[in-house]
Amino acid sequence: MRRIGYIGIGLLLFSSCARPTAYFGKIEPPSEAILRVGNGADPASLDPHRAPGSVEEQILINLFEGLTEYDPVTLDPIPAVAEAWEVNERATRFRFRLRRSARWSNGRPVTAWDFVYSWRRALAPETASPNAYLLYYIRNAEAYNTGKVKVRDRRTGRFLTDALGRELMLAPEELERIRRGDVPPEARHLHELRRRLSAHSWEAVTLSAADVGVRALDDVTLEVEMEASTAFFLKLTAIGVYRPVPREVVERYGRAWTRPEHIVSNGPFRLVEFTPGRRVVLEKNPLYWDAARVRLQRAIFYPYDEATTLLNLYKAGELDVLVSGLLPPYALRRLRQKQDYVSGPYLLSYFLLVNVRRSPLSDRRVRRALALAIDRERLCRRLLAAGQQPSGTFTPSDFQGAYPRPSGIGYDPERARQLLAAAGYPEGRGLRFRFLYNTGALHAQIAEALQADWRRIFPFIRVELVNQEWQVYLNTVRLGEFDIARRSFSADFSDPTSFLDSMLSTSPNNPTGWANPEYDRLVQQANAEPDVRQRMALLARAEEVLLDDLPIIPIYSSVTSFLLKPYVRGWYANVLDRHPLKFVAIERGEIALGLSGR
Amino acid sequence: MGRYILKRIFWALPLLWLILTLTFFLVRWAPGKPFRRERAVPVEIEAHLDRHYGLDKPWYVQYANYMRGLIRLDFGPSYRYPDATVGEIMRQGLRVSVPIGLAAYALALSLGLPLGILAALRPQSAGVRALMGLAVLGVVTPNFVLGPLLVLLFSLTLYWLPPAGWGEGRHLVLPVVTLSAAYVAYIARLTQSGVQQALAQDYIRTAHAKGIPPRTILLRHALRPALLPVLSFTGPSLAFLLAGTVVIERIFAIPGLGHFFVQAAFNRDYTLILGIVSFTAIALIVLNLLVDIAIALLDPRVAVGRGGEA
Repeated sequence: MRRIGYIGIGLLLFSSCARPTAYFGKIEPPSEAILRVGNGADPASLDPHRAPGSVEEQILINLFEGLTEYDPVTLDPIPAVAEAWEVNERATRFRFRLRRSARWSNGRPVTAWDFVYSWRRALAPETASPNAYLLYYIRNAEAYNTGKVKVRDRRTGRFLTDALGRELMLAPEELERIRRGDVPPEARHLHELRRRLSAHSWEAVTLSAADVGVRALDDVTLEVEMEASTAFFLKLTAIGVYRPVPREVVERYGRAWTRPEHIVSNGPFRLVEFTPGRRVVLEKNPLYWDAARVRLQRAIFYPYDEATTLLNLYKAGELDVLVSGLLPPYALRRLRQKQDYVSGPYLLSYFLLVNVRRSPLSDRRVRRALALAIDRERLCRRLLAAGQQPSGTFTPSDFQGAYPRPSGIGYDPERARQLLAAAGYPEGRGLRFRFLYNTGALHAQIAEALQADWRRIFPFIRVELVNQEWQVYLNTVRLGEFDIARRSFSADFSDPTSFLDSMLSTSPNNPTGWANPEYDRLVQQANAEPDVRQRMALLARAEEVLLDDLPIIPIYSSVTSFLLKPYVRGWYANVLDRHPLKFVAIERGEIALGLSGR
Repeated sequence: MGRYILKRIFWALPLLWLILTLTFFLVRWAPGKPFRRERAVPVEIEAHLDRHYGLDKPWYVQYANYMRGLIRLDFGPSYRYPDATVGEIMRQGLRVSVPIGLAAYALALSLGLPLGILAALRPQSAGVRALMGLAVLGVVTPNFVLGPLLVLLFSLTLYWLPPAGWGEGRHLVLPVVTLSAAYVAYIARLTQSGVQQALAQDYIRTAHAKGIPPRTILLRHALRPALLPVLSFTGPSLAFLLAGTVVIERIFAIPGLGHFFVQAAFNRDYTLILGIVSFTAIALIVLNLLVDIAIALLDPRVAVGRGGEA
């Protein structure tokens, strides 16, 4: 299938060499206020609770409106269905005041009860929401979703807590083991639990939807109680899985409720067509509370994933914008010269997973030597044409100055040589491992560049490159059957925890075998810390621990990189690549203004 | 003839069962799972998803459920599109693949047949030779080269036609031309040699001797046997055209059955893979059967030879 793309490359380059212009291809605003978006893939679902990823998110944030909405530039939470909110001092209780003018597209008011229903539905195990974990910050949400139990002191009626003051949560099989006294010696976590429980007369409590910490005080007041202090909760409320769904329509039509003929939504747009593989068409919702602000009449999302096809369509004037990450790498250097090319920072880290269970990578000196031997500057300059930034840290940003990001690991061949020699592999003698990456031109090139870097500094090292198809690769990594594997990770929300949580010893995203109690403690302590500065300082300390041990080797942080016709206003490069269309407009007759001021 | 058809149907069923069973186990043996993403979700959430789709059950239960569904023509829910069933997605794909397939088929026949006949009747004409040369070029140019070439010319240089997409009549032109090019060429070559062979037969010479007009000889006596190889080629081709042509659908971003099949394979969307394989297998078997019946009607010796009695 790749061949098709490569054949297109030559033709495309040839065709566009003929007439150099300031813009790429045809610039002719559509006759109506219609935005045509190249969205990169088919949305799997338009149900906010079942939609798995960013492709869907870009569409459904325009159909459904949450308590807050993303600011189109900064992505800070701005009032949406909630017109105001209060937070208690410890950031454990949030009270939202909903606007009375918020309506569903069938005219019914959007109430606090809708949010209670929706969040409980997202967490219900039978909904099988892949993003339910994003709601786990709410009290009892995780326990309800995962079927875990909490433990209550019979005498006081209070739930028992761990060292950080968080309520204890046990999987039913863990509880059973503790009850039976069948705890294997290596399960330190269970021994600790057992010790803690033995001091009390306790009972296990299974939690239901009613126990989830969200309740409606009246039609327009929603109260949310958190599991622990969650200072960044407002950032979460704009995420798709937090957006409300219409109860009566969901219950009436079941799986088919998102079809155009049934769907009812509360966002600035409503759905008029969804043809898998072809397009999703949204139309302005006249009942939206802020309809006066919405300037687009329609938005059409095209799900094509072939980069050359998308570029051709954009060039032929059939698309007005491509979402980020869809430009073919071969064309980037030339596209960057065009005025309709837009780029900016993006919360995505590209890094290597190191399997610390396997020798010789179990030796920290070896990991550090490998990390110090990577010339990230050169790699970014030579291979990555979109302007990706070399990064020596796991977190890709300082989060607008709020996060004191550690200085990270740099390029130091001399120190690398010393460390490897000290570990018993002078000049890489006797050091061999396999480097796993998934199919993709860029991944192959990066793997080869890293292999070359390591060989340059350690002439006797043997790195075998192993390429696997995407699903096979995911499986191999999941099973821990790798030495070093490439990986990239983008943030769910704009906060360092979106990255750092993934390296907790219990995280499903940490297949490295690395577990550091100090790291776990610092991240968990940070997550329970109400003071923002303190919290960020704790997270930075945790990242230092991570970068000291190096179960991951950071390579670069990515950028958003896309094409946007000059007549489109209000679509900005931002760090999560989220673009609420409420703020987007088509302006005719102002092409000469170029991109400034957008 | 009736028994011949019944016999063919009788053998088609175990063949279909074999294809579906093999596909069922092959997709499950492929490493990976339908809901795996780069950002892994907690194991409990994966367990919810598995339970929701019955993937937590042993393989033989899954297989039995699948076969039971198939008998009722219910392919189950798609793993990739949780809001839709496999049947709905396939209908969606067919609504796209069928018009393209039929249009390409019609174009291939309407150009290939006359061209082949012309080439057989006037083998020395420069114009006909040039056209047949073009036809050979059509056979040897793969559609993943021809498609982008047409896009380059008609979409990116002349801006006449869209380079990709689906939904309007103008979207049909480039894919249909690309798709039919090779078939035009094949059909022309097959027709040419078929007609040439037929015209060299003794009974044609006799017909000429009897003074029957050449047009009648061609249409009544030569064309019938000459079309047998064309027919055996175009039957299965139609099945492939209808089932979607993966490369064409990729180049022109067309949401046909081929597009969904490729996506389903990448996503490990087991039910969708099986649904599309079932459809393609059934279409192939039925169209082959129809072709064989048509051939038997054109040349009854075939049915006697294969079926024993007609």
